[in-house]
Amino acid sequence: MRNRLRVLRAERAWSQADLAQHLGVSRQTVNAIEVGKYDPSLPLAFKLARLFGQPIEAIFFEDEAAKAAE
Amino acid sequence: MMAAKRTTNFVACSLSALFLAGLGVGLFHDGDRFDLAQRAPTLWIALTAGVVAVSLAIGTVWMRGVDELAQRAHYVAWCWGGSFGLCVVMFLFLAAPAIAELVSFGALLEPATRAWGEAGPFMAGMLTAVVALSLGYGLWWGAYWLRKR
Repeated sequence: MRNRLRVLRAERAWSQADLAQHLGVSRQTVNAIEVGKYDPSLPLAFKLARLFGQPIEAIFFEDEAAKAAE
Repeated sequence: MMAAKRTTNFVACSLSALFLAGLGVGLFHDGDRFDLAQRAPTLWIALTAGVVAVSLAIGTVWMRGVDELAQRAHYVAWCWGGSFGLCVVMFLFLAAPAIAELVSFGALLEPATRAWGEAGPFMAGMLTAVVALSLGYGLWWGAYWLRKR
């Protein structure tokens, strides 16, 4: 899975630590999600969606969808 | 944040209790034998069961307190690393009759018998299983954590 987390975070001028604090997870978890090394659980994905005010599919998308868009 | 602090306090208190229990048992420790185990075997078994139960409770509370990537690392490590360790143990178990033809188990287990008495060889076997599982788990956990963090 890929995601727009880095962009959404940058729009709010949040550091990874800031976002981690909002989500109640560690900075390492935020980093792992951002770089696509870890896919978050559904509850955490919903938390992210609520935090950024966007649907989950606007934040996370499959690799194939990303390739098609390119 | 309060929950995290409560978790930390619980784990710290429990570990301190275990440490004190260990210290208490150490007072009954005589030379290189578990003296209390010989003097009061039922009490020793009850104490051991209590320590294991407390350790399990600490582990449960701690595991619920860490975030999902850390939990995932432990699940994966137990599944793959633990299974690998178990495979090593199963190999040793199944190959033992053949190994006994090549190596003298009596000499190999002599230090365990000297240190722990009649239960020594059995304890050495259990310890081998624990070490193999822990090593597999630890190595897998480290590799997963370094790759994902």
